[in-house]
Amino acid sequence: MARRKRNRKKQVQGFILPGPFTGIVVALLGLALGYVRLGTDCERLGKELKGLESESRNLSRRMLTEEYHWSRMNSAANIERALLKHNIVMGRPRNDQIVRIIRGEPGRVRAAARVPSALEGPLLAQAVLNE
Amino acid sequence: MNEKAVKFRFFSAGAFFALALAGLGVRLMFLHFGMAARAGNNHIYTTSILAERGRIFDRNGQQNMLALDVAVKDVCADPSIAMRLDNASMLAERLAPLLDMAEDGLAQQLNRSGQFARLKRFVPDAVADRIAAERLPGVFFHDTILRRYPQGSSLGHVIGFVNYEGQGSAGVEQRLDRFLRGAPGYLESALNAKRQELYERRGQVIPAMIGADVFLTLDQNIQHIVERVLEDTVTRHRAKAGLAIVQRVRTGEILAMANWPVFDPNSFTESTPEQRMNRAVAYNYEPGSTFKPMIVAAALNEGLATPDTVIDCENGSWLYLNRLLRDVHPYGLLSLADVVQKSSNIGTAKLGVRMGDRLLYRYLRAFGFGERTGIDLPGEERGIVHPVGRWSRLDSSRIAIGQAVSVTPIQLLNALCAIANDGVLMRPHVVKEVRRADGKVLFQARPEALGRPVRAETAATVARMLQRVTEDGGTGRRARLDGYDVAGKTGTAQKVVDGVYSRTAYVASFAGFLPVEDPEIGILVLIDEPGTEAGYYGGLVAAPAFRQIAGEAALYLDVLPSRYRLAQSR
Repeated sequence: MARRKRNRKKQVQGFILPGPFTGIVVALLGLALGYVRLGTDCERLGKELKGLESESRNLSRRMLTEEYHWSRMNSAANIERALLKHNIVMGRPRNDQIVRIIRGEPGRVRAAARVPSALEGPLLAQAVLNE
Repeated sequence: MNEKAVKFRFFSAGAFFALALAGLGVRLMFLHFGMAARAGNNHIYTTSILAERGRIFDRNGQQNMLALDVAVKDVCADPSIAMRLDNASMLAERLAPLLDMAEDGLAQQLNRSGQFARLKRFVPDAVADRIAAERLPGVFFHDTILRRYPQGSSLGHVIGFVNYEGQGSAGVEQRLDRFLRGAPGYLESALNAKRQELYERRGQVIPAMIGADVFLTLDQNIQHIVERVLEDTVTRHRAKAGLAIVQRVRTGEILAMANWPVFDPNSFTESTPEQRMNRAVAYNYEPGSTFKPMIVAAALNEGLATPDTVIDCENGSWLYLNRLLRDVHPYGLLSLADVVQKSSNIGTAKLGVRMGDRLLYRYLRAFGFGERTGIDLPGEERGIVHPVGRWSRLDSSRIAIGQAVSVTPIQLLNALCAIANDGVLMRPHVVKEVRRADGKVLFQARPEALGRPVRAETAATVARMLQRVTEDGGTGRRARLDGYDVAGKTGTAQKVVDGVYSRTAYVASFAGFLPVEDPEIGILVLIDEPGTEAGYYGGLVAAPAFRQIAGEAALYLDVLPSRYRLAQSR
């Protein structure tokens, strides 16, 4: 009887991992890596949020400070001081310097100006103007 | 390759994978069970998040801010570090010029046991940045909030201030504290060994709710006019104090309320309680002749007199119930209109006697005297109007001329504004609106009528009589304003000192409104104890100030001149 010759090349040596087990391990590994990735992302986002929170706080602090300075600058007393400093004299116009324009009939505007008090006589000069 | 080598490779690879898996597992455990947080020297902490207090604006809104919170820092230190490094004196030397503090005091604070010392409160960011740049060991900062008032002393008595605990302690800050203060937030989280927050360990976060913004009825520009005129008047007459109020006649809105002396709410601790008192609502005084319009209105309303009723003014000296009453100038027979124009004490006292106690008392109460107006400011006094049962037989004659009765300035102006407002008494108010940061309106003021002490016709008649006060022959000529018809009344009240009427201490005042035909604004100027050298009469001291305020305020508010109105109505 002829002895059947073994193919040594086809002979597998050592432990063979079963397919399903390998699949489960790979899946778990994938899950674990995904979990770790998510965790790392969360941590990074957390740090980013903290940074933004801090920046937002700093900006709102700055805004409050600037608002305070602006309110100080545009106060009536401060503007008056600034005008004085630059020798600018400003006052409200007297009534006799004001021309008041009042909407009258549709399409027309009625204007009335008080004449200077020195002239007296007719107290108001009125005119009807085309709009 | 021999079998030994294969085995070695196999086990090496296995060990490598096992280690990698173990590492991954540990990382997973740390992630999943938060072991990273537990492993370090961190600890859970809870803190409240500071809530910004609402801002206060004038009637023009966002452009005129009167109060706001500003972020500042407290400079703190850990003395234990300074002790360990033995550098307390070096720290004190470097911090002293930056903090503008004495070096010795700082060294004392740093040379003691404990881990916390607050070196200076409320340091501006710029200074804090300079200290931070020095990188001083053991020196750190605490963020905090400071209430600031950009207008300084302007409007200080109305706005009030917030104490160091963040509670409103005067003025609008106190009255509207519940709206302004907001609600602090809450944060539960963990810190690592470096005292940095671990964001991933953050638990509960409730954001702070910013306080609501308050909009006042006051106008910063009119206020500035009033403050400037008041300061000038008080200084010129070397008076003890002064106040002025501008009120919108039809609505009861207060457009300006100024006191002298002033105080700066930014440094309220440096002022005395007397300086901080808002006299406009908290000062009881005998009004003198400015009280007469209400008495005359009551008599006219009851039909007890007409403007033409003739009253004998006894040539300036009237003995009634064995007590002498004098006029400044002697008059004989005067019509009631002239009694008002000349401010005759005798003529008005006779009118008071004619009215009788009960009727007089009823009208005093109807005009709001003896009770608070209900203005939305704390500390309002009610004045003193005794019940009729406690009146002496002389009282009706004295109350009629503004003695034996105490009122607050806001009561007096409000009563006069009732005459200007067709007899309708309005509730004065300084708060226009309260609005949350998200735009929701929490409160909106509406004009509120308190009553109608006199009929519209009576009010109109009295207004015309008061107009004569500012015309030639009247005591208030100096209050006359070019272009406008002004109605008003002067007052020169003797102050009670040690139980008797003083001959040197007076209250000079002028209360009036304009324009007479359709009143827009009512103004009261009151000067407390003007110097007697340059005259102390209301017509001399307060009336010019009234004219100046009225003139500028009328232009600012674009109140049409009386003559212009007449021309328009033609």
